[in-house]
Amino acid sequence: MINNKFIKIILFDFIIALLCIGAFILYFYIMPRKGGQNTTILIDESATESQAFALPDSDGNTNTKTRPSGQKRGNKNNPGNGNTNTKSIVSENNSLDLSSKTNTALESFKSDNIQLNITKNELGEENDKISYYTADVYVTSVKQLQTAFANGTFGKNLRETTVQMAEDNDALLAISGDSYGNNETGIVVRNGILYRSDTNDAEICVLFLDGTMKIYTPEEFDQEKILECDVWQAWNFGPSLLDNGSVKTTFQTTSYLNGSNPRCAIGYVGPGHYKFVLVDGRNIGYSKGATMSELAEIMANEDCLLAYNLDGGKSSAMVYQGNYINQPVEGGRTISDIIYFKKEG
Amino acid sequence: MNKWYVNLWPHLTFILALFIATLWVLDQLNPMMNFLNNRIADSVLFLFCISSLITSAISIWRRYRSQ
Repeated sequence: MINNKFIKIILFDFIIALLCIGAFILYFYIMPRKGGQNTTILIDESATESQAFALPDSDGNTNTKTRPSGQKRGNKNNPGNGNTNTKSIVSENNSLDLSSKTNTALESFKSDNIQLNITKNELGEENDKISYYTADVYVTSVKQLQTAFANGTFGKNLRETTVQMAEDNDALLAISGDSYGNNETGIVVRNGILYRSDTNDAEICVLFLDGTMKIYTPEEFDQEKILECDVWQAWNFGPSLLDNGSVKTTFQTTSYLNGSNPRCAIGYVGPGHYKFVLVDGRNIGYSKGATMSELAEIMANEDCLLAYNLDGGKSSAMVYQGNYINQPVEGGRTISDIIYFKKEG
Repeated sequence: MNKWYVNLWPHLTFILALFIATLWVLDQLNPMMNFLNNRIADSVLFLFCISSLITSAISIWRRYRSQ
């Protein structure tokens, strides 16, 4: 027979367990901690020159010319982008009606080193409406594509808003990154410096100094070989959305994460040409958000060869000249890193 | 075997089990947050195993003693 004393004791244990969980979350996900004492310089930013790309002319044509570049120490032949033994995969057959898309040009910028156009796109109507923003960016050198940490420091649970980080780094355009600071594992290479070298279950997106981008599954990622190939940036979030321009049929994610949500993705069109897509969400009538397959369709529609999902939800933000381009959910939140382009490269 | 430190083990097992179960549910919802794949969760899991072993041993010993 269950008596009052038994219930009280169980309740007491329950409260102790909740306090332990609270303490764990406080320590692991809230308390800021600095890191990055053991960094490795993969690319000496001032000494190593990168490949030079030409900005498009008025007809949109580009010509790539080669400047004497840093010595290639490795061979990064494409190891493929297929999923292998991933932990959780969701397949979908939904399709978006991208023919009904309407575009509005919002911003454009051109200098000697960078050209970008930001457009607002709308799909569907009423409850199914999706609003997203595309930043189409051409750079003359991949070094224009920079990343920055919150408070300028690598660490765990260090956070700032995208606007604050954009201002701190004098960014022309900034988007939310991969929230590396939420985890203790996952490779982190930023601006040619290796901050963290262990991998986890997530796919890895690597941007090389020659402007090419590749996405690896954890099983494909041969760290020793790849890190010898002039890695400029490496993100650890995902999943990968496209396979040579085609929408993937499976994604390395979970059903919970795959719901219609605000999304942020980086797309690779060619060396020196990248696209950043930010889908707003959780605001029915304005934008419901996108699933992974919907985001993949959007990226394929933007003519990307490869696309990689970055941190979404309340974290997703796109900032141009210090102001939000999109409408972050509940005003957005503080995050651990951004990808940005400087006003003067 | 009615000392306080003997009676403490089932409570510790209960608390650790609840802790790990909560992390497991959170990890299923959002694996990107690494709720289980970290050094604290690993240590708690090891503690849980030790605590379970001791609780089980005490329980078995008490049963045999009463028989």
